[in-house]
Amino acid sequence: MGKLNFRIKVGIFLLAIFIILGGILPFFSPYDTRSWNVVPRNLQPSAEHWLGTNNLGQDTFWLLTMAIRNSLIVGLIVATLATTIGVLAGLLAGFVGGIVDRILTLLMDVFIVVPSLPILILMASLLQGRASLILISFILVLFNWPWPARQVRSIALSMREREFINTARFSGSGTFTILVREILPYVFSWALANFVNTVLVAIATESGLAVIGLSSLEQSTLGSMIYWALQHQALLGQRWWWIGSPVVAVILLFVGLFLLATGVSELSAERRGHQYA
Amino acid sequence: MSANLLEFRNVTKVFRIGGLIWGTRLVAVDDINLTLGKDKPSILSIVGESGSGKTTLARILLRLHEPTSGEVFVDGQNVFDPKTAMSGKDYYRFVQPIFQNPFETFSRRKPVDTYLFDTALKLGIASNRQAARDVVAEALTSVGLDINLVAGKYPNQFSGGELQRISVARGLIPRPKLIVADEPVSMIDASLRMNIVNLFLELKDKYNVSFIYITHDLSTAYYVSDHIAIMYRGNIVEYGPSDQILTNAAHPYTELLLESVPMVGKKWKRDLKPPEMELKEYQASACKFAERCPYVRPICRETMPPLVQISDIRRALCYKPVDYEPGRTTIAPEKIATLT
Amino acid sequence: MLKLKDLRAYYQTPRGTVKAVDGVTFDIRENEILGIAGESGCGKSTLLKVLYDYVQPPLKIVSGEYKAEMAQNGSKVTLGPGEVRKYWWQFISYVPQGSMSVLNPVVRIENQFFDAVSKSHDMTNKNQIRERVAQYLKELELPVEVLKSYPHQLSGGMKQRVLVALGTFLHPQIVLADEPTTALDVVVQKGILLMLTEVQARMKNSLVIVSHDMGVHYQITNRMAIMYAGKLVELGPTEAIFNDPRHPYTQLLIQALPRVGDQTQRTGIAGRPPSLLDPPAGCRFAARCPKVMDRCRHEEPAFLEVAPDHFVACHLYN
Repeated sequence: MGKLNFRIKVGIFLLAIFIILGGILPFFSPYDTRSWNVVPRNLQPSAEHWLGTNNLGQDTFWLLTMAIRNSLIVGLIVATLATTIGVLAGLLAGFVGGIVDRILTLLMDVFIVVPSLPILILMASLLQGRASLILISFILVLFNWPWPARQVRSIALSMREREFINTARFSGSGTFTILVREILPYVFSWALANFVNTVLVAIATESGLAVIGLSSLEQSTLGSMIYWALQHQALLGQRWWWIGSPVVAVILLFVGLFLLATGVSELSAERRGHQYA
Repeated sequence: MSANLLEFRNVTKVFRIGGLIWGTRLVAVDDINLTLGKDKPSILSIVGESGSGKTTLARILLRLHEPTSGEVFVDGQNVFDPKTAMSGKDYYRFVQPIFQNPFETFSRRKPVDTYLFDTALKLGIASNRQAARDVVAEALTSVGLDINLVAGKYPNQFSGGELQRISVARGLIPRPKLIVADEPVSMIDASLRMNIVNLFLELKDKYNVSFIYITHDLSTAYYVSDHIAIMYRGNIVEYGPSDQILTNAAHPYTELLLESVPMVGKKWKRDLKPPEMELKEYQASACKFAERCPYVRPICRETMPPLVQISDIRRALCYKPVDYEPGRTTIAPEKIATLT
Repeated sequence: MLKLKDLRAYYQTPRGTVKAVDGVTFDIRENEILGIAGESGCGKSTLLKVLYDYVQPPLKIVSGEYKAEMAQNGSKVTLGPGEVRKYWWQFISYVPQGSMSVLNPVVRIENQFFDAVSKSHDMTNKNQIRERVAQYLKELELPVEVLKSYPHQLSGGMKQRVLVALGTFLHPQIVLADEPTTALDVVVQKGILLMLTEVQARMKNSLVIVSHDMGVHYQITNRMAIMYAGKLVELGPTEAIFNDPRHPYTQLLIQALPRVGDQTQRTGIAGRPPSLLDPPAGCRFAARCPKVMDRCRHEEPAFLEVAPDHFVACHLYN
């Protein structure tokens, strides 16, 4: 643990809190958070309701844990798929080159240039709240795979000319083996930093959509929690706990993810011998 | 079937440097003809400065570049003809490389022995891990290393000389007929070079393998090779048995190389014409060495010199042996002894 | 001109203390070419840094004497560690290995000269400097086009020549050249070495050349120092060292070079030099020495004069 820098330590600490809140606690929730009016409304925080209750008759705390859980799920699914697809595409494009590279680069450029948010808003408003989180996640993957792909591609390109790749060929290794066993180790730390970053982007985008009411209205996420709070005049009615807790949660989650991502980049840069990333 | 292990036939390689519009043509390898016989294992050195084309020639042989024109035959089969060429793995069982930089030859992130095990298993030399271990151990022993001291270690735990030996060991595993060593000792201390070079001599006889030894250092070339080809800016300017060439050079460039070696026992003459900015020389359409040649005559700057057949095993690309007479390509036998 | 007495310079690293220069005594005299020979990792590059007064953490001079005598306006000024660096380029200069990226890749060569000159001299008029530099390049037979080029447009040999020109332009009294010909081929190497000797002959200053190639030392040096594992094992006039090498390591180094015209069996030196982190007790060459005696493993040999101006550290002469 001594080798990990300050950023990584704080990042992991924050994320650990969220993993507990979002990953473990929801299983213990005494209420079904999708139903309304299970508890008295608008209560202040107390021993029974740690963050009080909201205007819809839901316990704010347990609602929050469920929101964190769903947001994390979205983030993790999108990041896993986008990073995997992106890394594979980048490796193929950079290493194999030729027509494969041209096609993949074209796809990468298309999905980078086309702005994702307007497309998402358009699609979500057409579906009017019946867009499931799965669909939204799928679209997020589509718009997020090019970023790791481009980075990995340039690494693979520069590695193609290295002499040990030739040694591997003369040792009988095929292209796929070379990609995985020679090049992937170099790419790994980039992939990890990208993964964490994508979690952040995915949650941010979904929350953004949710706040304007265009995400799934059934499963609660941090963004939709804010949405419902706004809809029910939480600001005017000074229901700070209801609107404040998801906002604070979002901020802390992002800070944690950001610190972890930059911490990992710094660490891998140090390992390679550079002072600064 | 051809009696030749290796044959280069009119091989030319042209690179385009710079962009598509403003770039220039660089003729790295210019109409090379070279053969290596099969009857007994031998060592052929290809000697030249940087920019002579020797590395490009080696990389063509390793199939890392394709020739612009001409053909390369290995064991009688055309290497670059898709219909008759050997498959990847067959080729790797026939030809193996040793690269110049021992620290770049292996990935820094993997233990070095993984490459040796891979070679044994993937090229079909051993069928399982246990058998592979024996093969790898034997290969390492033949280069003077012990598998127990090599296993599991990363490249940064070895010296340059040790890594080169491991590189040789790896190349030996498939029992190739030909090993292409591209400046294998340039990055090793002068006092340790003989260790590697002696190894080539030993292995040539023990394993019946021929070597193509690329270098700019004439002294190790002389020591180890049976034949020498001297390259200058893409052409082979002199070719023949090493002892004949080095004691009685025909081409002025060979003389220059011999004079430039910092030998113990003979002090340099303090006269040297410094080279011009290199790019000008590549595009000459007459003798490429003319600007630096102490024996240059007008005819050398006007037309390409002839390929003079000095004896049936020696040749040179120069006007001097034929007394600058255009059209002549042979010399009288009496003159052979006093070429220099 | 520059004297070292029992100098020890160590690197403090997380893994321990690397004793790169461990008790070295010698001097650099006027109007000479001194060679420092040894395998990679023997400490010669560190020795050069010490000579150049380029000692920065983690490197530190732990003990010993370092004294330089600079000629200034007719008289001599004594300088110690930390003071010599004020006179970089003028009193002492350093020619690094050209294959390393020591030239700023986005700056034209002539501007690199300006940078070096303006920092140390009063000349600030660019045209004046440019003329002087062009003049100097002509003397060194370097093509003038070099000035307007960027480093990547020059070949390895040309870059090295430029570095030699840069290092000698201000006529320093001591020039240190660190492996100036490694990674260059023989013809280019000869050109660079002859260039260095010509410059020295003209300026009558002192040139120190570090190289692992004994052939290079034979060709151009007057005096030589052989280094092994942080210590000097032999020091003397070049001719004496090649005609009558005393230390077994020197003998092996000379014997390991192949000679054209001579196909007798030659062997390189077996084994590896000891780690500088944890050098063995006694003579450091004992493990690889063909003439090792029992005494060698316990007792370090003293550096003694065995012939006029010829020093050896070996129990065979004790």
